[in-house]
Amino acid sequence: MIGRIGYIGYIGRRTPRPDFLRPARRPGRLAWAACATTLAVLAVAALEAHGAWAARQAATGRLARAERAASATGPIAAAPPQRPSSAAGAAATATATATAADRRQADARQWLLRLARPWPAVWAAGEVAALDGIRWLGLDLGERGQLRLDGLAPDATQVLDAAQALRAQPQAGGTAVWRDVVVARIDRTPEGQRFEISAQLAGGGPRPAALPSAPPAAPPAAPSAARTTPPEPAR
Amino acid sequence: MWSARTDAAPAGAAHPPLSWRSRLAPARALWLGPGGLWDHGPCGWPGRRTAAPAPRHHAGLAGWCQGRRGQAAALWLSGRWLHEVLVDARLPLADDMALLAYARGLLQHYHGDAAAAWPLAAWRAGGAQGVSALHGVPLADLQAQARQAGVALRSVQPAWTRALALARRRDPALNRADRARVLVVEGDQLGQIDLAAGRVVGMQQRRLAAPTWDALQAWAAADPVAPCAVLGHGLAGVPDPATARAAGLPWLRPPADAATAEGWWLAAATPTRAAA
Repeated sequence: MIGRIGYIGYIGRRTPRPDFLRPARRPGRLAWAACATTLAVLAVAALEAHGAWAARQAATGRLARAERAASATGPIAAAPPQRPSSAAGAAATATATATAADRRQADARQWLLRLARPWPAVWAAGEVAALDGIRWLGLDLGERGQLRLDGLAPDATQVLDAAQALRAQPQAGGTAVWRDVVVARIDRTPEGQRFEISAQLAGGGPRPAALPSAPPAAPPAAPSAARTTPPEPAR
Repeated sequence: MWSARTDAAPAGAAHPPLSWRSRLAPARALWLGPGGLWDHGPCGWPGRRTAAPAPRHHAGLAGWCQGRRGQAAALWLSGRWLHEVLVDARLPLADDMALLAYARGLLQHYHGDAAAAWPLAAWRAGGAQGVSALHGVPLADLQAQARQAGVALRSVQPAWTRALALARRRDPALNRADRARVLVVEGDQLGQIDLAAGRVVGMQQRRLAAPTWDALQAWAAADPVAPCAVLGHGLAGVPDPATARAAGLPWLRPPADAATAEGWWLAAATPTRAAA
């Protein structure tokens, strides 16, 4: 017997299909393809946006956890990351998980310490000491607040002037931003006097010797801090 | 939304918008002829066979729409309501709007000012182009009846297109022959579609002397064309298939449960394309 089935797929392209509700031709395959492409692009964009939102949520959560952990362990400028100083094997295995947690907390503390630096003052140092003819080659702030300014000057007196300006850099409270400002090195090069000024952040960074729980054998964090030699005479 | 504005004024501004249920509902194939309306069951989706119930008769579209809020309908029109215009494919008509304008002028020339308001529908298929004109029933009234009842009217199309599709499927020789003919019989109304290599090259509407097989045979004997396929309803004295084929008029028989239904071919289809 003859089956009864739908008609849409069974009328070929050679069969007329006039429709009084749509007297003119319908949108072609190209229009439908464009529509489908648009929908696909929108779907992919929505997926991307959802992924980005989830990543942002996760990052916000991580930051909140780190801040909570840091505030629970005390003030920001407290001890540097504590290491298990005793090498006792039994204690090491017992505190293995605790050590991992400590390390994470110490990392978070370190990052917060870096964020808490008076960065505007640090950046202003480069401008305060920028006298005529001085060209800066580098600015480096160590983990404990040691500043190292690297530059080229036409004359050694300008280097000393720059160091003096740095010593006098004012802060909001009226105190100086930097202490122990010394000209660490002056080299004569074909381009001019290459010099290096090292200084210590007065308020924000504690002195290395003043850290209560700093390991005695720990070397200074920044290599520039080791080069606090008196300036060589200009040749 | 997609359609260009039809010449007939859409009548539905006063009615509430259709619900999503009726927008998504599968349409039911309805035949609208002089004898009333026949419901041929839901039009399935491609590749999905639906077991349709036997066709049921209704007085008209308004009667059918009673209590069918949220349903959808595809309306197929009898040839009695229509005039067909086949337009020479060589005419420089850029798009369907130009085709409609050309056909409007032609119809007004032959049928007078009444043709100025007839709804038209353009078609292009296989290199041929034409226009159907609806003169027998007011399209705006049909739309208003459906909207008032909350029924989505998906399409309003001539039923001969379905008859042509069914005949081609049942006899693929119609698509290959240099000259072939499909006759759509509705009582004493006869639609003649001439094909050349599957392309529509001629369309005529004729009236038989009487709605009988003998009258049809006498009419066809004047200009015999082979291959030929005949289908329709309301013809008395149709012989058995072998005799009809021998007479050069192979009669496509309706399914047993739809033997008396008008427009039975709307619901009929062969299970596979290969079946001839």
